[in-house]
Amino acid sequence: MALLEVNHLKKYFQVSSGILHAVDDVSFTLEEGRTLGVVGESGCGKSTLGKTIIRLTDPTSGKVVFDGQDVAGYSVKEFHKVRPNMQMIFQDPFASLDPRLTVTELIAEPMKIYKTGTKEEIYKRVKDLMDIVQLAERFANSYPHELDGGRRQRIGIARALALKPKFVVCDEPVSALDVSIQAQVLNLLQDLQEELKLTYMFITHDMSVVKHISDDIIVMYLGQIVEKSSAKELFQKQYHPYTNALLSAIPVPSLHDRREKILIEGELSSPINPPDRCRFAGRCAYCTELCRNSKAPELKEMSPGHFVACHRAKEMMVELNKNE
Amino acid sequence: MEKDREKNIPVVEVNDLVVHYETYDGVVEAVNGVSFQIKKRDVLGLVGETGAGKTTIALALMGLLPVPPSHIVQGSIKLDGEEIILPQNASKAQKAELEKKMREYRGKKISMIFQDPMTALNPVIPIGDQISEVIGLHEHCSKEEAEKKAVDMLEMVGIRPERYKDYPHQMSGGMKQRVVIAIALACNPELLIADEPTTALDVTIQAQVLDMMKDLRNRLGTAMMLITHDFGIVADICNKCAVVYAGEIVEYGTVEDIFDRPKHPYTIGLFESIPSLTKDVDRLKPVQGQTVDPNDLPEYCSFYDRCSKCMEKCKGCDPVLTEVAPGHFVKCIYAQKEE
Repeated sequence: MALLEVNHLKKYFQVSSGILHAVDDVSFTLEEGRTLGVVGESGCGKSTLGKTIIRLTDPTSGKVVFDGQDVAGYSVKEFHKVRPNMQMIFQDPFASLDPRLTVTELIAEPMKIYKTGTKEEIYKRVKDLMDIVQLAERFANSYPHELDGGRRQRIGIARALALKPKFVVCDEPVSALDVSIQAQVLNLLQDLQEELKLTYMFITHDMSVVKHISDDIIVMYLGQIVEKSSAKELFQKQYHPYTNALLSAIPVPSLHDRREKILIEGELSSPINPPDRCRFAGRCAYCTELCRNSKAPELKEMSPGHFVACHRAKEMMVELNKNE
Repeated sequence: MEKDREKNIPVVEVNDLVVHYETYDGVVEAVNGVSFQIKKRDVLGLVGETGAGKTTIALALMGLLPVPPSHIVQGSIKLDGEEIILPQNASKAQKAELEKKMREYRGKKISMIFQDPMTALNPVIPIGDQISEVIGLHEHCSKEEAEKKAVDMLEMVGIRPERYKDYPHQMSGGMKQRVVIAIALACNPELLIADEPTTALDVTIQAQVLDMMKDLRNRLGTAMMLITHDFGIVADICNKCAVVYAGEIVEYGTVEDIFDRPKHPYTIGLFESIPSLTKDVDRLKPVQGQTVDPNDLPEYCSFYDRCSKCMEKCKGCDPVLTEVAPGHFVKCIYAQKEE
């Protein structure tokens, strides 16, 4: 059975000019021990999706079935019991740590809230955790401002692991870090997954990172999933014009592997009161009358495990992969 | 092509530049003896980690280093053959004269695209006026002419002229960055410095901005210095590349040298840290350890503590940047010995 099953999850925000559809009817399942990558441009609802699943914001509607229980409707008190199993690593290690707590206090905080043991037990666990995330003991009494980004992110990881979760949402955990530090943290996350049998939802806009770490990937555009596939297949074949353009826009650090870039005109359109039609149509190079006038396309399975939401998916299958 | 280049004198020539920041915690040795030159049509990529001194180099070129705490200890910067670093004992009048000259140069001869488009624009002035301001100052033309040229600039960067009177907060990040670029290019500078111009942008918008910069280089021959930590961007747009570590250039050459024949262990390490899009790699090979503290640089090679190839000899001296192949320079005993 899947560890996490998200069904028709929606999160709308009321803003002065209408209703902002941050997450709009998103469904997926995630097996234990796997990593799901979530990619898309800023403002496409990736972070909101992560936050809604672990109930840092309340969903507007939809189901989140975690370990057999639908936690979306849980009250704060009920969810409190589930949260140790669902944790999050935040994007910005400079903003997500309380500047007035020392490293030890920061890592001990979740365990104190959940009263997992006596003081001695908790501090022993803090030491173990620092060891697990490879943070030297000499930093135990440092404050976050004394540490660099990589070390701060390790504190964030230790905090997320303190309660022995099954599922961790990693929200751009390496985007604030330099490449060499980024590689250290990615390796650490992979090691931890293997040792502790963790399940990750990995949110990022960096395609090379997502390819490296994910088993499956969902591509989001304006609150909706436009394509969903295994990581391996997605980088070989794209069925959605947006995914295709997104992948082609990545600057490749090599002089020989030059690809034709597909420039998407314009920018993300507004997620406030979007009309019920394909949301990418305005920027799509393959858009037809059909796309402009009919209802929003639904996710269809084009090949085993490869889903796409596009009216012209069949033609795109041929069109986008003709160079193979 | 090569002949063509030789005819040009470099747009900018930096020699043995040393910049320190004097703080309460001691002297931060931000830039330690950097030399390079950029000719017309050249796009130099300056790659390195946070704190390597990339931005300090750029600010020194612009004459925008804050004094204090910064302090140009030695070195020379020649803009179009003209020295813009004064000797230590320069008089007040000389300083005032240089500042006056720099004010004329900034925006006209040399201009800069700053990293964060969200904070680089004035929030209470319409974007069109922010562009025409630069033109009015440098071209000494009437207000109407300046405004007309500003409209042209907006069109060039792909913003509709109707948005002339819009304020920065009404635009998205990519749009704001285009405005910043329009300001930087308004007077056709000879040298454009771009400090992480696309870091704050999404990949699709990044591709649009890079495309625009490439187009400019091709049409106007603008020399550029591009500061980035993304090798992908360097491969896309640069023809020369300098890898900076702890305030020093550790490797310099054409992009072919750097990408196909990297020599310095740090450069190689950086490449191995990047997750590949084409190959399947189970584990990344990061450069071990953390960046050295520029407050406390060692006497010997500053990369020693993180280096996988370090030898006993490396601790004995600080290597110098040496030419290992025509135009390809490396600052490493190991790499030089290999030749």
